[in-house]
Amino acid sequence: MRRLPAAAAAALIALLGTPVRAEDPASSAPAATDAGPAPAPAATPAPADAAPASPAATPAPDAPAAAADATAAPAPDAPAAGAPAPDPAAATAAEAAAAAPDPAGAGSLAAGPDPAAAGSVAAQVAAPDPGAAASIAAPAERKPWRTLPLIGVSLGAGFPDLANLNLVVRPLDWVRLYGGPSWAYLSWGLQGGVVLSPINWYVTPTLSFQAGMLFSTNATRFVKGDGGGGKAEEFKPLLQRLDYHYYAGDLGLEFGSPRGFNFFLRFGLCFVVAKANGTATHVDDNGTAMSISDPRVSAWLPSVKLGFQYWF
Amino acid sequence: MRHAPLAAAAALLLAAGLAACGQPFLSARIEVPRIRIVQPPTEFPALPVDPNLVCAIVQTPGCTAQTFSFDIGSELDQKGVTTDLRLTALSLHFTRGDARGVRLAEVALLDPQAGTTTLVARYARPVPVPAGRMTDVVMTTSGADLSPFLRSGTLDARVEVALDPVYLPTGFAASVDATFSAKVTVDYREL
Repeated sequence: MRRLPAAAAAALIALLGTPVRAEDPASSAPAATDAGPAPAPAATPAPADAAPASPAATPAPDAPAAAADATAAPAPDAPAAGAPAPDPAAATAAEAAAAAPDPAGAGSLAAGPDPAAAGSVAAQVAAPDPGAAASIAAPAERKPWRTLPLIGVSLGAGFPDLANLNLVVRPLDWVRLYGGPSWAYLSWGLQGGVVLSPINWYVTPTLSFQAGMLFSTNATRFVKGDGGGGKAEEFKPLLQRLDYHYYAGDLGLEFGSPRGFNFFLRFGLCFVVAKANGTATHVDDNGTAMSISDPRVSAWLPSVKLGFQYWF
Repeated sequence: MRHAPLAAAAALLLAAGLAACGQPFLSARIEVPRIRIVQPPTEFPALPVDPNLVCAIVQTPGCTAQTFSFDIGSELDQKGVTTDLRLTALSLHFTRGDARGVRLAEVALLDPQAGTTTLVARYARPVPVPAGRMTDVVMTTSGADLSPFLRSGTLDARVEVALDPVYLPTGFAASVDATFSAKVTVDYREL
């Protein structure tokens, strides 16, 4: 039970980057053990000639050699510095280091309530080293905007686009942009959109927006006219050039890995616009001629999509 | 850069909004910018015997009248369907006679509810009278929404023409050429 507060203290010390751990050598020793993978040499008693090695106590954040002279280098990554405190040799070395004017080596915190050591503590507090500053800044670093794969492909089918193939780009974890060709029986087209996924898990809710269009097409080949001027023949001129575009907004779910293969199912609403370019004329039995030019149909309709995607 | 995806989403939403601009949510709309109905030639006698062909709107001697029905489509008279129908052009195309003989022409629609008529197109002969023979009378339209006058998808119109006997001593024959624009909206919630 005693280890937990010690570990917490070590973590706090590491967070703050101050050398106060030496004020409680008894607790700092296990804390050093808990605090992480302390380098083995740090736990070994310093050799008697450690004092000359005091330059090694330069507060480099990752240098285990700094701990080799039993000084508590203020770097948070050298938690084992306080471990050899009970060792007289280490204390001697620490005192020697404290006596030395070398500020870098003045971290004899393990020596206990040595005024010189206290002074060195004060000195180090007064002049925090760059390594400590870095260790302070490190936890404050922003989480990367994107941790998931950047590029993927998807294949889908549904309405208002019948089938589509997309290149998918994920600039942020929660944002995906996609685009690619589509095929809707009448014609080929292009479509694209954005998918917002605030949660990326094995079941991922999504909100997506899509826009697309078909290239102008001649749809008269789909009219089975009698060739004798019937109604189907009369309306053929309207089908000679059809334009079609749409916008859709969907809520959906994706099942599978956000880093690999997954299926998606989306439902929503779409706004579809179809425009015929041309004039159709019908003459009734009384001789009244009625012609219709360039009709345009727009409608809110249900939107549904299903498909799968793969992230590289 | 960080806001680019949000901007793209906003642009898509804006595009969708603009595309659906003016159209109710959960509806379908058919827009036809040009519906042209050309009636077969009809006789306008100079001295109508039929009392139905006596002018009621144009109170001028030497006036003759005819009635026409424009069948726009009975599908428009359904529940949940709203129509915006406008007359964009109306002309009389003469197959017999000289159009310079038309001093004044007016077209009115019969309101099936109130039983009244409303003027929707008018023509007045220019002064001075054109020198050469004319074959068309092109009328000025009001641009009003004609949907209140629809009855089972049909517009009943009355054309009254004040004649100049110098040019049209025996009346004339003409076809009525009318062009409309229509927006038909089906509201799913009212079906």
